[in-house]
Amino acid sequence: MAGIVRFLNSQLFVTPVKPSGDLTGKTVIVTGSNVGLGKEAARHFTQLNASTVILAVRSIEKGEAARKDIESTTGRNDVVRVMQLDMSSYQSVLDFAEKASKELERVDIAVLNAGVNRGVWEVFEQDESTITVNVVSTFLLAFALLPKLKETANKFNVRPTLTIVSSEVHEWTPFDERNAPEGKLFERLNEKVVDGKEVGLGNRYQVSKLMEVLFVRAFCERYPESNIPVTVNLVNPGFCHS
Amino acid sequence: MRFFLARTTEVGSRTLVHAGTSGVETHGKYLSDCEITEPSAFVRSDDGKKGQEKVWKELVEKLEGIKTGITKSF
Repeated sequence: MAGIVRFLNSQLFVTPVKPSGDLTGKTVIVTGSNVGLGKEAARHFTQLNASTVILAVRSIEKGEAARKDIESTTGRNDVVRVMQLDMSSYQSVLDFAEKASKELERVDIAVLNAGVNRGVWEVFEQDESTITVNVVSTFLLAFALLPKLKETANKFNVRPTLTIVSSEVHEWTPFDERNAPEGKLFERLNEKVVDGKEVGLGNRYQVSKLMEVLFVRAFCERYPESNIPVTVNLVNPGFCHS
Repeated sequence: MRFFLARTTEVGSRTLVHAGTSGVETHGKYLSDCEITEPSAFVRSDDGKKGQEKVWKELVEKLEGIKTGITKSF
């Protein structure tokens, strides 16, 4: 109930202020940035003078279209760059992180925004696709980028930020899958039938967003701010068009 | 409901930019409306903590199975 009141209050009465500040010299990565929130965030980062903004996207073609759109609205050329990242493939995630770490001088901000809300049963790699993209690949990418973020911290005496885009919908699931036997959580999330009942995917997106919140909290308990020169946080964008 | 309640994509994206440009005080925190906010009551409960440790353990194992050492290489 408190969650619903908070949600309605945010949606009806709160408008996040327009970003300000100066990101001159900074390099920013935004995943899933060919459309929607990711693209608009990349546009803001470009507008705020970031020196390099990487659009990490599945389709290079769509990424290039987004790049041109951002360039024409901000008037800033040679800042936005498109790199391929397919979150349905572990190899693509690792390849992207390797390429970014090698080719970019620094990474100051990484916003892991790419996610899916599929609602149809399909398996990518080892798991149901929502879990693969939103949870497994997201944290595979986070860990794969951390060495570069840490290197940036030490080399430039800054504190980079790694942001995981979660959602308030993490509040809206009982997460019954957590009751799976020890070591069988992902197995349970892969079962189409549990206790003779078909498993719907109606709250799978919510589960994936909750798992993100839980994993980041677990990570930061193990790596508190004094133990790691990188800030790791979670954001709820609110309920948006597109 | 979408018509009355939804933010535009541009307005929503401001929260991502805020989070990405936030400092050390946001480490491990959940940001909503550009502010540090508590996540759900479940997340903060004992059951949530148990769930958290389960997700941590099993996801770390899975990631290590994908690439050995990846969760310890920073």
